[in-house]
Amino acid sequence: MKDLLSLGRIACDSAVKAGADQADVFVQEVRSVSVSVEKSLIKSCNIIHDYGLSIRAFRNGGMGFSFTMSLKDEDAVETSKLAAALARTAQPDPDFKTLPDPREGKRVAGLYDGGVEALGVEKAVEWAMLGIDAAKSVTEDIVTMGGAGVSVERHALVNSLGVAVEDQMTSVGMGIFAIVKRGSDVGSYMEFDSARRLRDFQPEPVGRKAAEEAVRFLGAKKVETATLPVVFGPLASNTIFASTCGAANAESVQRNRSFLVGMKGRSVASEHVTIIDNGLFRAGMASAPYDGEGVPRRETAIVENGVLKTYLHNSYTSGKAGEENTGHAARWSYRGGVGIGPTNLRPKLGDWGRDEIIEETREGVYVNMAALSPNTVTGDISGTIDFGFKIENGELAFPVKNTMLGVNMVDLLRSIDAVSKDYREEPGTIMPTVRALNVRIAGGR
Amino acid sequence: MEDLVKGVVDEAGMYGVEFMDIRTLKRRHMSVTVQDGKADKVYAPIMFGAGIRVLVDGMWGFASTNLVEKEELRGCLRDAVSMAKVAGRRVLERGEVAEIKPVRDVVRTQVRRHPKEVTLEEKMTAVIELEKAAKSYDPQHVVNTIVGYTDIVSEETVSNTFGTYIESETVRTLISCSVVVKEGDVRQSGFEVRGRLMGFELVEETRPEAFSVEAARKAVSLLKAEKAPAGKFPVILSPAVTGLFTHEAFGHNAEADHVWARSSILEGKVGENVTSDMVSIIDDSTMQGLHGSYTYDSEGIPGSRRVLVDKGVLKGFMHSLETAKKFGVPPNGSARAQDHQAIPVVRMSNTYIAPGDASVDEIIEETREGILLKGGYWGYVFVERGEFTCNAEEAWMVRNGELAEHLRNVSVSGLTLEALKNIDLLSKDLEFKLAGTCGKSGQGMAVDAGGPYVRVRELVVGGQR
Repeated sequence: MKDLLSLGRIACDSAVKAGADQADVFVQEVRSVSVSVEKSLIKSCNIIHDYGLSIRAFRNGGMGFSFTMSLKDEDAVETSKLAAALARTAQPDPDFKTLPDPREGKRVAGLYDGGVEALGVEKAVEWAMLGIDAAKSVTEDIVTMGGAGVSVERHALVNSLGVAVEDQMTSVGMGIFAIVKRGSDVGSYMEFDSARRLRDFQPEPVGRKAAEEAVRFLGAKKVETATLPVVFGPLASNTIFASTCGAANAESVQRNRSFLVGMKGRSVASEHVTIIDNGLFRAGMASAPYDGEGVPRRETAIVENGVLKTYLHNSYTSGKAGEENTGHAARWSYRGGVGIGPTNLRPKLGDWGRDEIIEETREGVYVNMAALSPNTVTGDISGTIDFGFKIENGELAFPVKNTMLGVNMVDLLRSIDAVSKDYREEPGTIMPTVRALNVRIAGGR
Repeated sequence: MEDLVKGVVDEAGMYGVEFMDIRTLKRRHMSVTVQDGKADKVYAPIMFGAGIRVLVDGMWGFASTNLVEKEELRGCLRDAVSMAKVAGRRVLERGEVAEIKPVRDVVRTQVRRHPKEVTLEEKMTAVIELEKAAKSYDPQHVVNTIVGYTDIVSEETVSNTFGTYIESETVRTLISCSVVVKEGDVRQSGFEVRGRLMGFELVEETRPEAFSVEAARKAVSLLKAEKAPAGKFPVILSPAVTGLFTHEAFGHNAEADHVWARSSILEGKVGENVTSDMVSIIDDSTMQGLHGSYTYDSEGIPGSRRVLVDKGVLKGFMHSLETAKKFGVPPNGSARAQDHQAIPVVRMSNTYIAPGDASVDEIIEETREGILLKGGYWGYVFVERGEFTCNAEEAWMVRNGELAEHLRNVSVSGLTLEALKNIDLLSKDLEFKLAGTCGKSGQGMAVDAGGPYVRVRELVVGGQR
């Protein structure tokens, strides 16, 4: 097996020799097998062996970036020379201060499961069949698509200041999209599960849940345009909180591109909203000992009792602002650069039951999934409710179609008056049900 | 390369494959980002590898590797065959491909200035000038400007067991500009993009006034715009939004893999009226220089002009080799793969509604109360329900046949078959302004879309008042 750390060092040294002031190198190898499902049938089995190395070289703050899809020493050296040459051509950026120094991170348990690495595509086929059959057990006329897969990743990160870390992680996942057609009436729903460890993975309910929800969406109706309370289910609340934390990206803030510019220390949500970002949660899908630049991950309160406590930093933005690096450098693949992003979001739970929130809503809308990501500059949300219900007299009355919601994200967050104590959990992340008041619902006149 | 891949194709015969194809890729990107006056980020990644797809006993297997060398490719073939065999016993409906005549060809994008013949310095200078123009449009209000430049040169081969061997070099160039402006507590943004199947001449032909200055002008004008209303309105789509609408509301539903998988609302509707009589919808990958154009698809089938709807009647779908066989029609070159690690799937290219005979002024004049949408930002569709969403950069109220107040960025939503039947006016324009990337099956693909100004009698507008 290739020593990824040594290769990273070779490339990093080579970039510095070629004139870079600083450089970092990310080396990654991923093996994945997957099965795809179409029309309730196994369609294809696939194996991908992907690997490569990317280099960021800095010269007077200007950055050159390149990657190669090779783990050969000579390709690593050539690529690092190219990145250094690009950095020399790039214009200087005095706002770049430095890449991070090495610091000891905390070990995160549960990111790698040898049992997952031992699995072949046969297991993915088994899960996919389980999903197909479980969906059919709900109703014979269900049509499913989707798939299942297993992947194993090894990576190393090296920088010219001495950061040298490596890690390995496994993941398993499946998703089933179920469609049921009764004449011109169509119901559909996507359900999924994913985990780092087999013990956290529950493939059994996926197909059944997808089919049950698809059937529940039959008979959808259009609704009248109105201003109503909206109850956001777990997946929808997760989108809202993730978008909010995404807008707290210090790069967007420093560049004046975020609706959260100038909001640090100020109220951006109701007192019921506390969002904790935990990059170290055991076996979390977004957990790791280090961020994408080798800075130790940690637990951070992003919003506390409605107040925006911090922006999310990587080394560039923390250097530019002179603020502490929060360890949120995001690097998903050797093919991309380094951005900023939240990790596992764990909102503070309230004391409402999910059903209680619905029961206490005389008229409103329940949103399971919707296009809730705002325009990041303005915070305006204008999206379709993809899977939702009209609430009448405290009950989910009927599924809605061709219905939209329009609201500004900060207004939405400030109007949240209930957070549930029960929640959906995906490894690392918890997703409660929340209610916001006064959301404009667009339908008929 | 030909000997190498043909050796692997020949070897596939020993495994008893019904069909096999191998695609190799070498792709160079060059990107420059200029933000707030500094061209401080330059990207030049290099991608390479091969993907092998086999059909064994009715089941598909796929494997990819980044190393295009003989032994590695042989191993990759073995992996693909073993993948197909794992699931082979589950075959209830056999995978199959349309029989085709082998094609041998070498094709190159015709460019006036090949990106490799333009220095990085020249690229940077041009992009810096575009960014400066945006900034200087209104320095008091402009608080952030980004101009991005990317050229992509892809050298690919497609080879299969029918005997096809095609070598191609494809050149695409893309520039985008995003401007953020601020006045008091109000922030707004403007965006422009140009993407073409061409070389550096795209940048040379781009006037700042029509590009980066235009993005800045839009952003500044949006500072005074009002929130859009919520509810049902007659909606006039400008060409970019028409493109987005055509792509999302109709195009994805006309991808034959969706139809075959029973997830399209167009299933069983060929020969039926699916839109108003005045509407014809075409997907055309042969349009000179457009971002979604190509000579051959990723299965080695020539791209073509696919008339999907002719005067309201659904004529057919976009096909891969497999869906063509299943539907009993000739393949029409619509299967594309993002790179060597992806399987070709049915994709749109340049999708549009054919122009009508009204003028845009006439359409506005005939609208008592409605909303005009401009600038296509993003969209998506649930094909099985035919429920689509299109987000527009800006909008105007139309009152008594005239443009009234300017409105902010807003989305509209509709049900495909209702919306297409509710089209009642088409202008005589035909513009393509939606060069971008379409996502499907985890793959991003270069596409464009357009059309005339279109009036839809009723769509839901997701405004805030």
